[in-house]
Amino acid sequence: MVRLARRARPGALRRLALLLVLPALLTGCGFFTASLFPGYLAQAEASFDLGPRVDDFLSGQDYPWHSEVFVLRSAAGSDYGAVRISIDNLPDRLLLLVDRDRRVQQLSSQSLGRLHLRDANNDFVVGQFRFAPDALASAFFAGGIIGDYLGFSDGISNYLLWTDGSMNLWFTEYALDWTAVNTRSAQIDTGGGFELRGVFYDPGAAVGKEVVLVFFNYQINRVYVLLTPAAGYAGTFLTPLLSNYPHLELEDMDASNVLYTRKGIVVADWDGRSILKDFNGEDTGKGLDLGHNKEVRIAFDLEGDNFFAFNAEDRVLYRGKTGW
Amino acid sequence: MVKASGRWPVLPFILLCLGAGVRAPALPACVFRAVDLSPTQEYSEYQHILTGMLQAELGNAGFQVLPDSAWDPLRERRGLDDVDLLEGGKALEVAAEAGARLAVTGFYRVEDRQFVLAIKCYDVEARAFIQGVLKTGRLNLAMYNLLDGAVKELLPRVRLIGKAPPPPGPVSAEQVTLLSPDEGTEILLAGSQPVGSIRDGALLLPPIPFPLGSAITVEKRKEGFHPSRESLLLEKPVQEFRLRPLRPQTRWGTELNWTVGQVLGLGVAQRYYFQPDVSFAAAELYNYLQTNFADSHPLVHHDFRLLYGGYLFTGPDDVFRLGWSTGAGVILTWFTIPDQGLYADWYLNLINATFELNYRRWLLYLRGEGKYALGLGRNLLGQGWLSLTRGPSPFTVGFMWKW
Repeated sequence: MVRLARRARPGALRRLALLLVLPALLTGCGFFTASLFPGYLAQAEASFDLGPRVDDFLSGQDYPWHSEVFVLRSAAGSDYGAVRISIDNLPDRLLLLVDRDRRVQQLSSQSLGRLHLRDANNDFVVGQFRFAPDALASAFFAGGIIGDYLGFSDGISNYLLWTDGSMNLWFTEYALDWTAVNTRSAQIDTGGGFELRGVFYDPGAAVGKEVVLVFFNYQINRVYVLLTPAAGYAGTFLTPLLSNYPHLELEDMDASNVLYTRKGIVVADWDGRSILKDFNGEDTGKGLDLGHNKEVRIAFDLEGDNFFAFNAEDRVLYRGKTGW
Repeated sequence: MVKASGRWPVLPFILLCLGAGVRAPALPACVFRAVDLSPTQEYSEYQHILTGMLQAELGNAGFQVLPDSAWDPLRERRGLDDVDLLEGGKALEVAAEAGARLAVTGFYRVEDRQFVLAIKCYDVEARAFIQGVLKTGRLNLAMYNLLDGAVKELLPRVRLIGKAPPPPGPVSAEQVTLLSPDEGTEILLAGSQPVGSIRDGALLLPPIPFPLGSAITVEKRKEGFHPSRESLLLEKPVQEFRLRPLRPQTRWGTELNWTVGQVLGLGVAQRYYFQPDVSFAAAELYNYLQTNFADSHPLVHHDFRLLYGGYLFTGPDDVFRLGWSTGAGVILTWFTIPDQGLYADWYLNLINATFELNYRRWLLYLRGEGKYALGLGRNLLGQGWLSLTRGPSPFTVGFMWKW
């Protein structure tokens, strides 16, 4: 009888260990959070199915449509997530507003321009409509408001801002009742090609940096994030603005996806990810994955603690925490 | 004779080649005259042709052809005619007395232009018949080809006469034992000749004289296992070989796997091999959580898919194997926040490429996956190739137990 002995193979154990370690080596830091699914979904605290309302609004037409998301904060400090829907070649607009109590308000009109702010009366203003935060259905038309401009309110006056494609920023000061007080301009830079793409007002920001403007210069394909003093809109600015006030320059960036929070500036990269940069333009390493295959519009509260993300394909609005 | 030489222009070359292979000292050969058994004397000239040919070719093959004078007197002294030498015993007596090692006799007969030729060769020392040829044909010029063919048939055996015997001592493997853990395995030599089965862990090969320094190939066969071949180098007269264990034929495989991008989870899969270890179908379920840890409300995903797969370039015996699979599946997603129903992302798993470490009862694998989301129904991923939000396409490491 011949006995056959089996021996353990140490090589097999080494190969096994290598196989187990290999994935971590290949993927690095994102090993535990990388996913096939957009990361913001796992950050969501609440979701709002806006599908029926959006579909009703869009029914009967085949033109492309677009969505925009923004956050309105009431005087009481409550944030409302807003989705504005517009349709190519048609004047109709739809505004959907969701609150902490999961209520959804809606208004459709041709006068719902891109303007959105809380005015000096603590009313919300979207386009040419003014309304109390919980009374969108009772919104009233304010003909004096130019609803396609951008603006802010410092609590005393209201301001609408626009550019004319050259080198100047124009702004009109409005009284509490939205009667125009005066219109002035400030030179942005020595060259032209500036378009105003975003206005953010942060009363909690450092003095002199309360109003954040986002410009896109189409001549040099560059985005500027300019921190300006609220007092300048009622008084005077040092001009040109880019030479006298702190700003960031961002290249190769979609200006419509450049957003302000107190934690920094959020920009979109080309891999479906929103990245938080500090005010020096340095990447903080924080961000939010929005996914590759679906159009997702996003907005943040002033603190950068919460987000609203609208998945345009699914017509679902998510509210969640950024974790920043 | 002139005619004959003209008909066989290649003959000198052939004879030269044959002669070149002979290195031993020339052995004496007695080529008796070919006997004409024809009913008439009309064809007696062939006696000289045939005899001359045999003498010439044996001479070229390295033999020392004895002249007629060396054996003819001995024949006469015994009172024998040429035809009597066609009897092997008498031819051997005369050749032995003449001191030859090889004796060659022959006759021919021509009748109605039909030619019959017979030649015989004898080992004088062994007093043994070596080889004979019998040829028939028409009496025409092709007859010379007939003669040539007859001589060529004889020469290979004739040249063995006088070769040195093999050197003394063991030059062959005397005892070869095969050891194997696979009881009952049938062993075949050269893939065809059964030589026995493994009993009590061993098989003693029958005494077949394998030369030392050579390699033998054994094939192992057992029901339920993959046949396998091994080449064994014989180095010692008595030698044992430990055969590699046979690979069981796998019909079922149960997997545990883990995918990058789905790290908070685990997958299970079941394979069925249509052809053992060659082609399979698999059903796979992977359950995992998606969370960003801080302020997260995790999502729960269930990825179910059906795959069909096989292997490239490699066989069941190989430790490293390259595999492929393809199929389709769906990822079901639940939210842990209210008011979100079930989402289903249907996808085509167009191609998976697998690298396997393959052992007898289990294997480890690393699998790259190419998934294409279809964007059907209520889904989260939309339509397009699936990749990690940060990083490459997902890949999987797995363990499979074979049974």
